[in-house]
Amino acid sequence: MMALQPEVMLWLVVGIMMGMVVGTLPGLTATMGTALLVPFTFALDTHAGIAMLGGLYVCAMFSDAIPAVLVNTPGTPAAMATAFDGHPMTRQGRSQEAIVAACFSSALGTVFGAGCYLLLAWPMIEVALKFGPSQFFWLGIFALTIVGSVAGKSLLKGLAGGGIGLMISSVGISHATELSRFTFGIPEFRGGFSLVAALIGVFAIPQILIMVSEIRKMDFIAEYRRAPGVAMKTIKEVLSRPVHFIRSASIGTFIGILPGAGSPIAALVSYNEAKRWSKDGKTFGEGNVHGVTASEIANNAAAPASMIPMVTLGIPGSAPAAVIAGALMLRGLNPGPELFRSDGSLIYSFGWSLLFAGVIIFFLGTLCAPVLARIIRIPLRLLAPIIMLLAVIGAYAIRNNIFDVYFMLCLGVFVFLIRKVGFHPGPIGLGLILGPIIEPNLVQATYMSDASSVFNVFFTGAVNITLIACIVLSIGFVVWTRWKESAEERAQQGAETGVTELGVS
Amino acid sequence: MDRDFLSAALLFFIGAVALSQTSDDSPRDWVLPLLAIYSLLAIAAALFLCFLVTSFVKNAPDLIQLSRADTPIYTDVAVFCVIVFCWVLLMYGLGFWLASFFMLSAASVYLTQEKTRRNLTINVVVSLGACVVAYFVFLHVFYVPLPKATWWAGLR
Repeated sequence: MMALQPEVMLWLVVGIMMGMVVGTLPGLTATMGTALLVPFTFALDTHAGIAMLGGLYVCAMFSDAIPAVLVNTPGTPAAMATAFDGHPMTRQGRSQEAIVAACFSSALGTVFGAGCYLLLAWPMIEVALKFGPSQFFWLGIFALTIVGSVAGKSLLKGLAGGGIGLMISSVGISHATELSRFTFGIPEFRGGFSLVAALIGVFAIPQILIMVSEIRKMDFIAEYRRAPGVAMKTIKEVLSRPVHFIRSASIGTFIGILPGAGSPIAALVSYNEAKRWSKDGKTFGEGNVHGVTASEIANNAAAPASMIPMVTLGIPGSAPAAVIAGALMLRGLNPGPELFRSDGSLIYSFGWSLLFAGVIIFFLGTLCAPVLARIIRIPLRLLAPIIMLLAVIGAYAIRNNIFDVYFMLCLGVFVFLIRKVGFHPGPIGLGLILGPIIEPNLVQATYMSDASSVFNVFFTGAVNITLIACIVLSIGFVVWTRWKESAEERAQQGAETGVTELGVS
Repeated sequence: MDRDFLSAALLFFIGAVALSQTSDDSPRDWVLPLLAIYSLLAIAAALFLCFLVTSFVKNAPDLIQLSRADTPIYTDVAVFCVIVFCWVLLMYGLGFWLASFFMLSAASVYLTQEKTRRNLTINVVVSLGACVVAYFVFLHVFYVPLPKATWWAGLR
């Protein structure tokens, strides 16, 4: 087997190390990392070069969890949901546990996704091909229902945050007729805002300002507690919920196959479903380890799965998969059914390399976890300015545009201020991520409806009806849960008042 | 000030400003933005209603608590923001790396509670180290063309 050749394994490990750096630094995405690495792969054998690119991609999907857990700043958009529970765990002194959980679940997700790539590519692609613009639109709306889970105390303010995120994502040239929207006469607005800069603004900048505001009370983010044996305990905890693992991995794999959906949406949907079905769903957002694992399993399963449409049909499932397809084409190999027939060994060797990458990530991550967890021992007076430096470089690096830095800083200060009146950054980030997925598909679907009718395009077909049913059930569940919680709160308050009155009388 | 009232005012403002930028030219271009704007306005109305109910019917407004004791905290945040904005403006004159070193040193020195000689030295050394590491990683590994000095070519 080519994947076990020493040269292939060596370059796979090099790719994984590069992925570790790319994912950990906010602003450097897996797409950028794979694109930067392509020229270096020309000097290598095809199997080794493609394995290195794949290794970088899947490892970046793990290591983006590290800044999300430690400083509440997702390394890439795919780690946004990881931060919801990962950072509260750090605040509770459980940073090592959170990193090990992210590492182990990323490894499991990668192995699951790569297994599906090797075994189920063709049957799965048949289902994925049934997805058109209207189905993607409904999938985006389904993901938007996660607002109910990340809204914080006020559902209304959560929905408003989602709306603000959607509006920010629609600034610039429109998808339908290239009309300028919300540009206020400023030419720089015409190009729209960079998603990565916006996400750094929403998550990293407010977090830095929170650190600064807490500097008089504490010297560190949280107290570092050395936790011997935490790795085994966490692994046992993750393995104790096989249904949770299979659900998250299946969601990740399926969404990964859908072209354009990608790891961020997979992680968000998986997190939402984990919260919905978990017995301790109430503790999600407060440092529940299964919130971290749900997100990490799904975003890592989505990474190898996004290669399935690339190798079977020639359609990349994600931006890094598109870069890898480009690397194959530069070698004169056209991804698609022809490649499957002519050079099947390359396709399968790549699948095995991705699977091994999952195993290597586990060992590497578990070894590094105690060291990485110590980052919280850096005093806040040094950590806050250094994260600011990385945030600014990250926002700038995406498009080499200083305007993105100004926008990121202004958005960050705005989000920091509106937190004081009860808004939560999660829904704003959600709107930012889902806007570019929902809008183009909505516009395309409305063009299609010109030929038939809106009803035919949006409300017929098994996939549409299934997704609409899921949306209705999801909204119903959120409303029911909120109503139940407020009823319990009222009952508790009533009981406390009763006790006080009895005590007084 | 009541949190719901402030939120409603903010959303009304955002919704109104955004609405003033829309046009009827191409309905497809405005489907999603308009949906978001009307949602914001509806939520603003609902929050205003919540404010009226909690403040005047239940008599339990959700007030933002600001005390004099919090003044140093807000001063810290404001000074840090000023340092960062100065840095962003200065990086075109001084170049990214020199401006970054000044920002890191100034911010860490300001945020140090016990300004001992040892702590201040650590701040400057760590700032320098962070700049050097970031310089090699971003400029020589990832080829990020960060802003160069325009005031003096020697600083590039």
